[in-house]
Amino acid sequence: MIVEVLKAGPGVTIQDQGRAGLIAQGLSRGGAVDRLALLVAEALLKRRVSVIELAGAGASFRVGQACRIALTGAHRKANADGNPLRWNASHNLTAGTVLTITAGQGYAYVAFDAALDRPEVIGSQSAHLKGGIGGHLEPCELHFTDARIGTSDLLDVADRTDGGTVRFMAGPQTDAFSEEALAAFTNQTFTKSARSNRQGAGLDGTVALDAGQLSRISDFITEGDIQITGNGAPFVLLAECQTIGGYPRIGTVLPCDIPIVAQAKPGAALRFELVSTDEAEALWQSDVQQVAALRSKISPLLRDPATMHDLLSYQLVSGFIRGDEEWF
Amino acid sequence: MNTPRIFPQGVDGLLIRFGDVLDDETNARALQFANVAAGLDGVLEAAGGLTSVYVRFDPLVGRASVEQAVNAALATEGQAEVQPSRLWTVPCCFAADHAPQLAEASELAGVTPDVAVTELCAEPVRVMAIGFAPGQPYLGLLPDHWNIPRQTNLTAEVPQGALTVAVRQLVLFANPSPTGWRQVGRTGFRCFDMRRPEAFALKPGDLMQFEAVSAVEFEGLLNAPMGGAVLS
Repeated sequence: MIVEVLKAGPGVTIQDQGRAGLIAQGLSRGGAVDRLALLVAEALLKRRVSVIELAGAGASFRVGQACRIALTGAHRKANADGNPLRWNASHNLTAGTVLTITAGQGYAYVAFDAALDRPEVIGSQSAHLKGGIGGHLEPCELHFTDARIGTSDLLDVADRTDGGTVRFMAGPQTDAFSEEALAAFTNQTFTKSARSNRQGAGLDGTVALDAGQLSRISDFITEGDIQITGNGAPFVLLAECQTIGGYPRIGTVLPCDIPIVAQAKPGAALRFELVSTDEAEALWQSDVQQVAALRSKISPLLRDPATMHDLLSYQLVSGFIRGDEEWF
Repeated sequence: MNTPRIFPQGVDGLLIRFGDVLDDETNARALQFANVAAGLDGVLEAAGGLTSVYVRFDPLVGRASVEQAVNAALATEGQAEVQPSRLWTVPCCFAADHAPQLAEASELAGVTPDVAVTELCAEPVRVMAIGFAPGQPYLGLLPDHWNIPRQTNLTAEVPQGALTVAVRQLVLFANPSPTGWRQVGRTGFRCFDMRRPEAFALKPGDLMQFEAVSAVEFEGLLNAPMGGAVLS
């Protein structure tokens, strides 16, 4: 199947799980900034997919043959040949359909129920902009194999563009901050800044630093770290974070709450709550566990009254037996 | 040898800090232990840094058992040996356009720009860590008077191949990047190039010897393989 990329604003990239395991080479994992949105797409389509990430930008596509899609992440207006499409849902598109997604805040994701036929770079198809791998998607033809159609389903996960409370755990440099500084940090309401990208999310607000904290030995940084920059403004590292840095880190945001930071729109309020390492570990779930939990929340998008008396038969047509079934 | 401290680094990671002062011995310990840690049960990756080791583990295996394995390995830690290393000879241009902060950095180090260039090219520096960006080296250690602070304000962008200095180290930039380190030269060296069979050029422990070249020579080397750098 060919999908024509008709329009793609700057900030449209191909993403997947990223490239774990290259910290020693100085390359962070990268991949989808909002991993929950990637897992929602995989739960809806019941397969592992590469997705198209729209960071603020809009895009339009023409599908060459009948194919199911999933729309996840930050809500956008989407239509198929002018017919509006629900977000956080899967839809079947007929051959030749033009899919249009508007520009807007946050990271939106389009997933085709097909396997993207594109060379991998170091085991992934994802663009890593900071690392210099791949780039922004421009009008072109994307080639897919194994395109499928299936059920149209809804998976309503909470919108996460309005900020909220973000849980974090202590890290290697937390003890460099005084009790007062830590309390001032957790009692403060920060706002998401427009200075945000795939590398990290800038926040407006100030955390007091003493001079000694700015002359530290450069040390490892991981996704979720809350770095306090020279002017005292926090910066939460995201998928394309640097792997080593010199600024002090007050702690690390839990993976389950990174989507809240990543998707918060500029001006959204964010507060930080410190949790113990044990609590952080209790809250951790593997991708497999998350997808299983997400799949239990799926409901049919279009409830044809003719099928309402027998939802069981509805379920029976939703499954396609595949080799990777046990992943779910 | 001091006792390393272990910290959580995210829900699936830990950091083993071998010291709070950067010196060759602490760095050698970290680089050596990274190789040991990579082989421990439940460990998915390990990376050696300037004075620490980052370990990412499978949370299904659990922090406790990985920490136990790390502690057991630390208990039998051998004397860190400097590994035999490769030597890169790297042309570097210190002319005005390519060294916008050479004068400023020299002044902070208490030497003239000419002396600074002589010192930076006097002997090889060692790759003490790879990080920040793909294949990007932290090089050191420079003489003590190069213990100059990072800038308080960031430079908006240094170019790919920029040679920058702070806190007795040099960093050679893999990609154009903002930084608080002062740019004192520029090379055509490509730390990371996915078109090469060896996408990441450098390994921790490699030595880099900088050789001053004129702006004209530098322009000619920009498109040469590895910017004219030679591995011996």
